[in-house]
Amino acid sequence: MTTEKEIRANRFTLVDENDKPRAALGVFKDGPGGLVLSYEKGNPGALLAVGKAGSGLTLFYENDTARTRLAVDKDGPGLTLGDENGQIRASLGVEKAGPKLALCDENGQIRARIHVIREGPDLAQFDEKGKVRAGLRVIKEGPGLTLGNENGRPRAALVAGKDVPGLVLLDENGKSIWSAPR
Amino acid sequence: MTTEKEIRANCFTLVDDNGKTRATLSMSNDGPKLSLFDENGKARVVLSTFKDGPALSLLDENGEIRGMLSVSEVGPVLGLHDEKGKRRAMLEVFEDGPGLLLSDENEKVRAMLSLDKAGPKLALHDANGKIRAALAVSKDGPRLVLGDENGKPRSQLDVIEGPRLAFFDEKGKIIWSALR
Repeated sequence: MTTEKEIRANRFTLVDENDKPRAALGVFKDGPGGLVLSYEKGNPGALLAVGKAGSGLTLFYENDTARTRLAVDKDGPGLTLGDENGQIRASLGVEKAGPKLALCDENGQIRARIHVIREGPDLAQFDEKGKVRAGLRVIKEGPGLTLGNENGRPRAALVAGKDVPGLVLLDENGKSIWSAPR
Repeated sequence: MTTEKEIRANCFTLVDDNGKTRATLSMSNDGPKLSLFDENGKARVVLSTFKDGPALSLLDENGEIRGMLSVSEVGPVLGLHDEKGKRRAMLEVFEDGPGLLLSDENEKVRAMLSLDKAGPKLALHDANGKIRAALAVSKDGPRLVLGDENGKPRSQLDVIEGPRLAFFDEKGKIIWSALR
């Protein structure tokens, strides 16, 4: 078998034993260059592309819906995992504010999030309306856990501040109604 | 040098100056795949589209898969493996919902942040698989629960019709509480 020093083409097409295209490396019609691997039926399974908006790898499952995308664009690097309807359900990214992991419900609402921002690491859990109902964070003053009501107002706080650790239970107006140790 | 419009083949092979194969775009029995090889001839990156779904695999110098991003019938998964091939971290979207799972060296899940129909939940498990700490938000409200070695709640801080802190005995009976 001979080895060419270089072979130039606009498109390299990988065909199966029936001469059916199953992969192509080239410049696609809509601009971006890349590699696409296809299922037997011809629909894409994996697309590795570089375009104006950035570069990325997208994985599809059978029905042409993008289920996973690993990309780098102007907002930074990120990975998204989607459900069968194409709705993003999990995302991991590094944005300007810091790294973030988010889990979303079937409506796209963020329901759980971990991120690290300038103030410190922060875990938040949200209800269906987007209100923070549970938060765990480590900030300059110390670590703390807060549980909130349906309006997103803290009703219980467990903290380990500079002075003393403590637990405070609050009424709807944010007034302390019970605390320990004092 | 001329540029062809299209070149078709069953396999494309990229070789280095020493004639070693460093990349192939080829057809296997399962489907097409792109493989990138290191200087020792080990496949280190494989991108494939097989019948059960597409996958990107990153392998170490021993041929062990250390990172895999894939989509299958059950959903998309990112899996990270240790040097023994044990799955230690997974980010997935399955039928119940999305989740992040961190496992120990025995592949037992020890920490899980998940979202299902009940709501979001962070759970920390001991080596026996018992939940020892959980922070969850359900329709009733948020709660932090600490459990014993049998997985039974022994302490709970919640906001359900108002805030409450409660301690339980081994049988689940409240032995002390503040408010409510």
